[in-house]
Amino acid sequence: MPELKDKNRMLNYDYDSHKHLLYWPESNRYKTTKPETRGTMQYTMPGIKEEFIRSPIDHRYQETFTKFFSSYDLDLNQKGLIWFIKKGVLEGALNGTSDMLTWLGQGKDKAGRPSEITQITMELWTLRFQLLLNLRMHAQLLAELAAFEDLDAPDLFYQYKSADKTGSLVPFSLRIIHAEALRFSPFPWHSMIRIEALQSQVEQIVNIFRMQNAPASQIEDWEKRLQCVKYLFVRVLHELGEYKIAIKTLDKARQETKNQEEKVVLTRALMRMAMQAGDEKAMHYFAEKASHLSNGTNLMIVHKAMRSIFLGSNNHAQDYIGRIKENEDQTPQFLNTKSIIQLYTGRARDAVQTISMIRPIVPGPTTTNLKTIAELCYSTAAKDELLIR
Amino acid sequence: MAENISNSSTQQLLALRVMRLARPKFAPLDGFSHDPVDPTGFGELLAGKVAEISKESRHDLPIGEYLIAPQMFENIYLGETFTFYVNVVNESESNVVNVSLKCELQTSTQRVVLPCSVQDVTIESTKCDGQVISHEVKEIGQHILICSVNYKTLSGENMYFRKFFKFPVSKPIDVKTKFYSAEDNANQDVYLEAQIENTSNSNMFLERVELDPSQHYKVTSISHEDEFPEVGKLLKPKDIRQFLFCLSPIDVNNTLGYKDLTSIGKLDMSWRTSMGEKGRLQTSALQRIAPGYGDVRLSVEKTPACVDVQKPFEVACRLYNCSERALDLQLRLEQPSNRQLVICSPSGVSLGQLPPSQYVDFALNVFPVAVGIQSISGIRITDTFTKRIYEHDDIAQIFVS
Repeated sequence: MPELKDKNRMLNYDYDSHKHLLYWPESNRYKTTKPETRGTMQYTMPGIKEEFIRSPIDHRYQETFTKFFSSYDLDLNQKGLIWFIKKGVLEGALNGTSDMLTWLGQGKDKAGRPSEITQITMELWTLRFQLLLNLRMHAQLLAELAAFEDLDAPDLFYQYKSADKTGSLVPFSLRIIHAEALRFSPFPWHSMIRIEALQSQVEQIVNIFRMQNAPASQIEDWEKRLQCVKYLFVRVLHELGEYKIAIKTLDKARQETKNQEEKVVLTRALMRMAMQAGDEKAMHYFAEKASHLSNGTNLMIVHKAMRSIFLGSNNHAQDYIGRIKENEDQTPQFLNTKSIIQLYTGRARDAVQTISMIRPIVPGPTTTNLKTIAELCYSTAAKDELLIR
Repeated sequence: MAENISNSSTQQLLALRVMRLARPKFAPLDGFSHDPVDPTGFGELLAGKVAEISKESRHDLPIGEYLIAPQMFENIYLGETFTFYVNVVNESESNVVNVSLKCELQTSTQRVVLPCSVQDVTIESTKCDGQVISHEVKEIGQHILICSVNYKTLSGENMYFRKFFKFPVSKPIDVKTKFYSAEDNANQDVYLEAQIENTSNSNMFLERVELDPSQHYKVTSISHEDEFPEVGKLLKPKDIRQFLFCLSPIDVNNTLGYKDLTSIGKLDMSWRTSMGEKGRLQTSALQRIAPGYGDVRLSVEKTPACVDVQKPFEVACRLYNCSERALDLQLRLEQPSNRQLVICSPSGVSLGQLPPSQYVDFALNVFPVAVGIQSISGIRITDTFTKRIYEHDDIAQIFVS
């Protein structure tokens, strides 16, 4: 967890100990700047878009918010960000970034005006974009991200202002969001161009580190980033409806990974992707692979039950899920699948009882299922009582 | 489903709930990727929280692990199975007796009674009784599911109400066929090209596209290896996929049977859509116009592919009477003007009386004069009764070296 890493230095982490993570080849835009003019011009001028209304926070948290975000105090503000994220009140954390960026000269009405680009502001923007993404505030994300153009401006490199530091001020998470964000634009396919370019750049960096005989841990860090970009590629392709390429790319990643646990996770994900698409052939192919890797585990049994649902054999699904005893597995995945099978085998009330065992009841697929199935088989009064409980 | 309630003037003690059981889907996942070695740690913190809220273990992968029950009445297509859960719920505070449920499906042409086991049952207060019912959809157009409930209150009053659920059924695929006749002097094969278009709104995987041939033909499917062999045949909405079949007559000597050979067979197609929803359709018998051979058909039964120049060779021919009367035929040979192949057999030979649907064999001796690919022409068959002459040119090609 972040607190364990460094209690008070999250946004303002130490440059020297993370130098390899900040490495990024100089962009053509940087290279074309005259050395004597470096540090004088400002290219990146972000700001919060004022046309978007500030996210409302539950009134219960208003006092806490004021405690953490009354003025610019990096340590206290960071604690506030962590507190709100841990509470799941992402709107609170988002408003926290708004205040902090405002204090740092990049608030409302500041887009297009010069302000200082630092590691802290860039990390704050990155966190802000991650929050906007998770809050599904895509229009605001795209609007505010536009100021960062193609992430290649000269002032986004440490060496532009400081002779003793090199690398990029752009956090890698920002590169990921920058690549994905166009998925929410009117031209979603353009995100693929950015993702492919990012993948190629990261591959290039991994090769550079290898050629320079960098420590294995540093190469490993960049390989993890490469894998992250590959998953992003698959995820966006899948969202865009490109089933075949998505499945082939993820299958390639599955074959390449040396982590056995990850291999199992990916194989089962591929099996589910095939099921979702309706591809029986691929489903059997990956089911066989997954079974070979994790036969007998509860998760595999749940997947075999899902396969039976796919094949229209709900009774077989019931047999599979019956192999797992309730006291043996109380995971929401198991209970949810069991409940769905009970619904499809004509036992709607049992399905409600099973899914009610999932705690806590929070918005999400299990709660949606609870409401849907209860609607079918409970009287109006009983259903209201159930949902209040 | 559009729902209508009938006969509900009095307060009902029971409520009828109907849910179409299309296959459950995987719940949509809000993807989130972050730097796995983020120096700030905020990405990891946020990803952990998001996973905790959604209960999904991974947000960087394209698909989640939670199945979700149908949330809406999705499109249903011809050839699919309509499955629904029908439930009678006692909303009152007293028991209800003799509850009987009747489900019927009304289409534009018929009214089908669906099997239902809720008959003469007692339903306690707040309890329910119901079942899952399936029916294969065999018609397009408006369908109406009619659910009627009869019951008695504890005071002995007979109660009744009905509910109607309307839903349209449309065609999932469109099939266009083209025939290519390869019938020539060597064989009588017919090629069928089937173009299958996905006219539905969702992706489908064609699991089986087979030609069930008529009794006169045997069929061979001509297919190519897919780019990704472990992935099925995907057909996106509005996509068209072509399939090719070669049909060979079972009786290759059939001469009269061309009129019988108009019926080719039926195309049998099955597919799956999301989460394995299955559909199957069969076309009506495909017909083609029989090729016009006229009264006689000449078939080359045996001929060498390559011959040496200036070395004679033999070509075995068979002449079929495709007419409905006996023919008195005479063979005449015309030497081609370029004289690269010289036919050495006697011309003007009578082939005799040939009854309908019979054939006669004869041989031609040919002398190759020039090298290259040479064509055999100049065979003339005369019907001595009508004086009609049937000309057969370019009946075979031979490489002369």
